[in-house]
Order: sequence, then structure tokens, then C-alpha cells
Amino acid sequence: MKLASQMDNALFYDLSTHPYPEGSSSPSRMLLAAKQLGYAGICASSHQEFFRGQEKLPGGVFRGVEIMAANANELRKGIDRFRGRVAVLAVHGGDEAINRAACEDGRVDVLAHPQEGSKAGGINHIIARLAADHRVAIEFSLFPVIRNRGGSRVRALSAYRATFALVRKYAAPYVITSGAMSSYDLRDVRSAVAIARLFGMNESDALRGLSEHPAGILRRSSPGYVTEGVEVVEDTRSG
Amino acid sequence: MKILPSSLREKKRYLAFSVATEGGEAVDRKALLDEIYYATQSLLGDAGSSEIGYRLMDFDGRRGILRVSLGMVEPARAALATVYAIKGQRAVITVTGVSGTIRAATEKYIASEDIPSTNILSMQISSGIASGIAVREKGDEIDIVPDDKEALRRGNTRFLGLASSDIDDVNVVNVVNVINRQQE
Repeated sequence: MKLASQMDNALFYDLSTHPYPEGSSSPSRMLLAAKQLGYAGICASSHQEFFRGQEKLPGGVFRGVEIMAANANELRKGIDRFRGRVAVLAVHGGDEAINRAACEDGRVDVLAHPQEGSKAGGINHIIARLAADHRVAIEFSLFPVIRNRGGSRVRALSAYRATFALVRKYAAPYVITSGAMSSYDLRDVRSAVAIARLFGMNESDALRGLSEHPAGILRRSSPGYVTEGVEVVEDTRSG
Repeated sequence: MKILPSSLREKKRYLAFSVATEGGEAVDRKALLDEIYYATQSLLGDAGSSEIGYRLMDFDGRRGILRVSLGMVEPARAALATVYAIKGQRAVITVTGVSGTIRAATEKYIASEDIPSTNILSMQISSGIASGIAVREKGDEIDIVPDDKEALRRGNTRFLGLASSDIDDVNVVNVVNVINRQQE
């Protein structure tokens, strides 16, 4: 089976979870559950008010932050402050000006839930093209699909469908995440694929959003990375 | 009425699944089905539910076999993933495998693995992460009632979930001391 062979070789990452102190599972507990569900690693991307930055994270949990800003200027200050301290820098999206400002800044890794609170889905052709140019990944969170019922879920799914059509057209990067506030919000990789198919992704689109795009973000923030295709490799001869 | 010949019957698939709830007790068969039907109906509607044609073949309170139509495995998987709570308690249904026969699903995916037993505790612990009263332990999972209740509200759970690696050696000594004191 095609899916089975793709799944055997790939490593899956969930780039948006909110462990304790924001949510109600510790980073280790979140990782324990994620590993049982087929993930190789997760990112602890708490909103900035819960960001501590000093605590030790278990191997397999990457440090992240989700910046909340009222305007583009504030967002830029937030990015200046956090970029050097995290592996994954996400922006709390929703406001159209914030969505756009995030996609104009190549230091941003993920634009989280751009549809939240926005009528038009939060992403238009201009923002999608900016995201593609600056390699800012658009997030598709499973959280509203699992958590909500009725109108709000319908709106989320339609926004995802419209956003994904633009993401595909302009070849912008994207990630599928759980947005988990506890280990009970995590779902296995195949369920994530099944949910992604509800809003217009096919199987390989969904697998790319769970594996290729998040892995690319983590590679960019690894210590030896210089630029696309250039990396400092440790010299093993002298040792 | 004479039953249909096998060549005319609709093709089926059998999903092996497991249910994990926050409390850890066995789940009632009816409560599980109610929740599955409700989740499927709100995601896919009556027409979609009828197309899936659920039938719970076997269920022991934790693991079971669910029959669905051949072409509806993926929508059924999505619907099962949207189950959020059972009887008001946080729950997750995980599909462990799909097979063409009940026997294959049982043999391949309902393995007779050791399920770690759940221990009910009541002891004060403080780790580098949080402090509170530990109430439940299962394998590497430890659930506590934390002093800080705000996180529970945000996560919408009854307990704060920790892993055994969150409790370092110093605190294990404390826990042992507490046990000793309780015994005295």
C-alpha cells in the first residue's frame, strides 16, 4: 500500500502543542502520548505569556513560542526578542494585518490559525504568495475540528478548504498540527490524514504537512544550518 | 427471509480500536456507541452515518472491533477522531488497525500485550514542573491534582498529566517518606 510505505520512511512532527504551564499535560507527558501515536517529535509552542525559556525539555520536544501581537510593529519586536531563543517561531494569526506582517518576515516559521476570528478565512492570494516567498508555513490545526461542533466547525473547515486551495496554488509551505492543550487533544497520524481529507487535501498533501514541511522548519533552526543546502558539518577526523 | 449470497453482500472492513479515558475506568458499551453516533452525525450527517453502517462487533470496555463499509474507512476514522469526551469525561478513540475479517483484526491488532495496571494513589508530590496530589499512576503516566487549577481549565481536563521522568530522584525519596509516614 502506498500510504504504508510512505509512512514507514517518514518522521512525523507536531509543531504546535501547548504543554503545562499553558495546557494540562507536562512536555514529557505530551511527548509520551505523541510517540505512541506515531510522532517522532513535538514542539512546545506556548503563547508568549507562558514562555519560560530556561526549563529543560526532554529530547524530542522542541522549544517554540507563539507570539501574540496587537499590530505589525509589536509583532516585529516580538520576533526580535524570541528568534534567537526558539527552534520554532509561530505567530498567533487571525487579524489580517498580523497575518500579512507574519508572512512578510522570513524569520517567522509558522503562521498559526490565520482563520481565527476572521470572516474571509484570513488568507488571500497576496498573503499566500508572501508566505511562499518567505517560507512561512501556514498552520492547519486539528483542534477546532475535534473540539467544536456545528457552526464554528463548519466555518473552520470552509476556511481550511479555501486556504489550502491558495496554499497549493502558490506552493506555500504548510503544517498540520494538533494545537493540543492536553495529551487528550492529540490524535494519531492516520487520523490526522483522515481529517485533512475533509478539507481538500489528499493523502500525500497531508503527509507532507505532517512530515516534510515540519522537518524542513526544524532543519532550518538546527545549529549547523547556514542557508538552503549549506550546513556546517562537525569535523569528525580530528576527534 | 433468505440471507443474501456472499457475492451480493456489501464488502466490510473491521477496525480494531482502543479507548482511553481520563479516569481510566472501563467504558460502557452504550455510552461509547452513543458518543460515536453523535460525533459521526455532527461531522458527516445522517446520510454519511448510514453509509458507514457502524456495527460494534466486540468491546471489552477498553478495546474492540467496529465494522464499517469498505469505502468508508477514512471518513469513519475522521469521525472517530472527533470523539472528544465520553459521559463528560475526556476520551480518545485510537484505531489500531484495519482488516478484512474479524479474525485478522483480532489477531493482528488486539494483541494480548500487557496493559499496565492503574494504581490509585493519594500522595503529595512536588516535581520541578508542578506540585499537587498524585491520584493515578499507569505505566509511565502520572496524573495529579495540581495546586495550580488554571491550567486544568485551559486544557479542559480533570487532572494534570505528568510522566514518570518528571518526578526526579529527590522527589521519589519524598514520596517514599510520605508512604512510610502513612504506614507508621
